[in-house]
Amino acid sequence: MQPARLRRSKMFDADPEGRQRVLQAAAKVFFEKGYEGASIDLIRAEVGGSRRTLYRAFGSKEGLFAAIVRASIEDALGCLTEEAQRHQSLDATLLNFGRGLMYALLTPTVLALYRIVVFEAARFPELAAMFYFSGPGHVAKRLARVLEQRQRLEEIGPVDCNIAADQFVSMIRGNLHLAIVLGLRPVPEDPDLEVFLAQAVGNFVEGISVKHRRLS
Amino acid sequence: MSKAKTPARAVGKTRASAAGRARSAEILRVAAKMFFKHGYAGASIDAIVAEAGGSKRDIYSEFGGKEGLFAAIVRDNLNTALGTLAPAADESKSLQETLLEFGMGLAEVLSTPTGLNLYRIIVSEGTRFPALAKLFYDSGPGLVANKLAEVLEQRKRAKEIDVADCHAAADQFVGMIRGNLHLAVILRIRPAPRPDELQAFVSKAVSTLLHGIVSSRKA
Repeated sequence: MQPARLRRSKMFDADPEGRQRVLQAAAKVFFEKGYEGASIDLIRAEVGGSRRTLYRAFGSKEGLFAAIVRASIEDALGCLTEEAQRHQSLDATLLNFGRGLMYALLTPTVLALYRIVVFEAARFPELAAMFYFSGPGHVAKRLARVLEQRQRLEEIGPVDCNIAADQFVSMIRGNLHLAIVLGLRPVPEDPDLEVFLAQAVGNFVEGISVKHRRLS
Repeated sequence: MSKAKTPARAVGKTRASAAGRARSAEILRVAAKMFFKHGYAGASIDAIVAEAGGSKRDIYSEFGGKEGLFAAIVRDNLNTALGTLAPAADESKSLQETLLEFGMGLAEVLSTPTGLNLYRIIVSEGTRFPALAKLFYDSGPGLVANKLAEVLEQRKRAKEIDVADCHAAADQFVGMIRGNLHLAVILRIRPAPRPDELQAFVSKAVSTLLHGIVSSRKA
């Protein structure tokens, strides 16, 4: 059993496209059937392969849901590594992270998961907790560590970095996001998103009040 | 059940409509409970009738069916939830006070059981009911952001604030108020915040919007 398991997990590691295909198929099934109606078998019917492979790679339906969430925020989190931040201003780091987060939130997959989990939390509390702590809670926590580091360098004032990180993540997930979740407007074009992101970073870093503007 | 109702219907108009109103209110109450608990697909008209009394025909004649009933409970609960959602702009107040009022009004509405239930069901069903999604957005989050954007425009003209796009700033402020704290409550990971927690939370959001996170360094 052990060698087989190793071989299979290695196969998925070496095949990110295959993994991506499984996650996309899973998201489609979750969207069409709801969380309760979805099953590993239905997902397998979309992508083929063996039941055992899917179970080994993801553990369960819940594990697949978590894997989709985690995969979606990889790019955003990648902007927060020390290496990515090297020689980068706070504004640039926030802009890159915010962009990664915004694009993740606006993919059809994540929009679908968000709609599902918001309602299913009552019936599937573990799913809801897993979603929160692998997604929105996790990105905020990672951003908070970055803000603390910048605070030690005296780039930012004595704010509570956990709260500030929550605020920034939430600015990105504001009414624009809600209107898209509700199907009331399409995802804006990239240049419009860039403008929105730059404004969010500016308002978050410097505030809107005139007398507190940076003197640079 | 239906026997007891027949005379009320036959008697004078006012009594009949009073009884009718009571019955509608009861149907709406039970329907809200069922829709909020089981979602649109999971709620059943039979189960609603079984608990609220009356007949399926009552529901069809008054609400036109399940979709109509769903629309009615969304409207009904929206009316209950909104209240002091967007205070009138008052230029004699400081911007900080005004933002606190907006923020608290919104945060309170979002944390009520009705506000939470509405948010959950509209987010999950919104794409299937575009007209209801629009009604919810326009009379809730969209309204607050528009009013707030007006306030910000006014303060921008008064040179109190320096911001390129007041609508975007309003959107972001609403986002902060409906942030991870709200999401954690929506997901039932934590209970709704107490009023003092909300107050502290909102005042920090106001402070970030006004002064940003760098300001205190050189202040």
